[in-house]
Amino acid sequence: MSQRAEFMTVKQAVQAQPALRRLLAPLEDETPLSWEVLKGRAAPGRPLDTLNACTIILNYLRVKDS
Amino acid sequence: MKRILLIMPLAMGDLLMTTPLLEGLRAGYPQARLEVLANGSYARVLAHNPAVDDFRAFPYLELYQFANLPAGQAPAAALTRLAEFIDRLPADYDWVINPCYNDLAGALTFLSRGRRVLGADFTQEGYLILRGDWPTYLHLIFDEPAFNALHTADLHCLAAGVRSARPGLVFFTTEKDEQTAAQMLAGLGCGPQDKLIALHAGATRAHKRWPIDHFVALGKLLLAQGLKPVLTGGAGEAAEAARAAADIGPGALSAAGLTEDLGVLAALLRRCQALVSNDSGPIHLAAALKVPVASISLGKVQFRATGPYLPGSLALEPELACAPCAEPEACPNHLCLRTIRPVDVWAGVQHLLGGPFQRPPESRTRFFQAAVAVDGFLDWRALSTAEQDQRIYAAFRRAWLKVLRPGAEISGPPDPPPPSCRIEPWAGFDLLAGRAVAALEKMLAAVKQGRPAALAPLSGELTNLSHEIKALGIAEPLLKPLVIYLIHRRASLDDPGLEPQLAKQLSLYQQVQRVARLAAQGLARPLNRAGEVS
Repeated sequence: MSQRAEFMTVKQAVQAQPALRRLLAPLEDETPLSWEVLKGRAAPGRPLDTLNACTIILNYLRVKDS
Repeated sequence: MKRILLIMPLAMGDLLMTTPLLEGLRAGYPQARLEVLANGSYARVLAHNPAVDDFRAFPYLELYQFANLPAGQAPAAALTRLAEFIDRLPADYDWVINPCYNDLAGALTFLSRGRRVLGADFTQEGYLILRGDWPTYLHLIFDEPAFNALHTADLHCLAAGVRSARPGLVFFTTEKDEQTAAQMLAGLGCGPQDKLIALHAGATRAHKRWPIDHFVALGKLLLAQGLKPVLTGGAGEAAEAARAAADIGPGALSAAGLTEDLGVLAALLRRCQALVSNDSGPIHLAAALKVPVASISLGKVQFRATGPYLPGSLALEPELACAPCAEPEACPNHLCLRTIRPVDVWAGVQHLLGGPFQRPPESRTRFFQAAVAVDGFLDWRALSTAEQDQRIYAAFRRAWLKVLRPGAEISGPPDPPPPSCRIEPWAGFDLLAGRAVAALEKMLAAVKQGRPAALAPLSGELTNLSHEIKALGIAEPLLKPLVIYLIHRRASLDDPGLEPQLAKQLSLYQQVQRVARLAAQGLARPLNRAGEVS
């Protein structure tokens, strides 16, 4: 049985890695930093910004769930 | 043009195949700063290359590892590393060239924010498109084995509209590389008089791997003729290569695992009389070093596009109706892996070493030899009459080359259709494309004359015509690449203005109509002795 992953929020991520501040600026502080949130925002047809372009790159590199 | 960026995050061989483009860009834009963004693991490919001003190492492996961490950690860790990379990307390029049609390269292109882009790019709305005629050809016609007749290295140059002064791939070794390789070979018991033939049995995908026992049998043939086989490969292939060398017999060497440094592998290959290899990075490395290659072209491999770019080199393909394969994963028997026999490859090696070509009895191998054609681009010539009819490749090659010249806008009435265009399916395509041209001309006239009401019915007619053309492409395999090209090129014309958008569409329909007419003409011509359209 798979365990539900715990995601840090955007605020927590920025506190841990200040370098992320600018990149994550389009997201609300309390947004969980999960692939689902990022991928939903970067779906085809959504306006492309730097964060979405990064999501597209990382999604390409991920081993996809079967 | 002050700053140019080439994006190529694919494999080592793909990066090597951009070296003629880089040489061409350097020659065409001598004052420009030329940068390359590629997988950092392959930085050695372009090290010491005077055409390149800067190599931007994309941390592919590192990001791959971060992106595949447990879900709770992955996004933050991977985004942090990627943000560091992007922050250092200048994003003020005059020209970004991206020959890779995938999300990764497209997103990197978007982030580079070139004022002009060639190749795959994301639109502001998040759609991956291809900008430019030749990139569309490369990625869509390329997938149709029967129609692609141009080498990828040439396509890169055609796309950018440049030519390299010294055609061919390039790689630069250092004195240290040469010394290390010489010491390594001496350590393996190889003397200066030994005539080495490199055997590279690895390949990224199983469908591209000629069986190792065939390499062993070939090695025995080489040994029997006084040649010394030397197996190459990465550390992961070292054990298998060592076993193969032992099976070949005393005198065979294995350098696998000792050439992790690409410069040392290059220096080793330079010491060899020839390389026999599956379709893998070393064929391009050997071609860059002008070491003749016999490339075993299996599975999906299309040697016309990705074979060794070196006149005189050989591509060997199984003589099977299904080769090259469309779907190796779905193949129930993988016959192609065993159709080419060791004696066939030996015949190829003998020819590479200067002997006359002699097709072995009962061979079921197609032999092709690379040569520079009269059009100045690499071509593949059949070595015997047993090879399949080259007419289709030659006809399409001539047609595309004539029509898709960079920057060449099609204008004016097209030439009348040749008699061959009266034959189906060419007649059908010609008719539909001609109607689309007429509709677009009327639409352009309506826009210029301020008659917007006239546009709606013409637009409907154009939509119907495009559906009919698509249906024809599905029904007629001969037309499929043309139709695929048309559909994708149309989808990538993202000019916001109506008039320029219509003008570009008009030019596109005229383009494909001309390609179809020229191809139909070429297919109707007789063949010369070399199997080419005369």
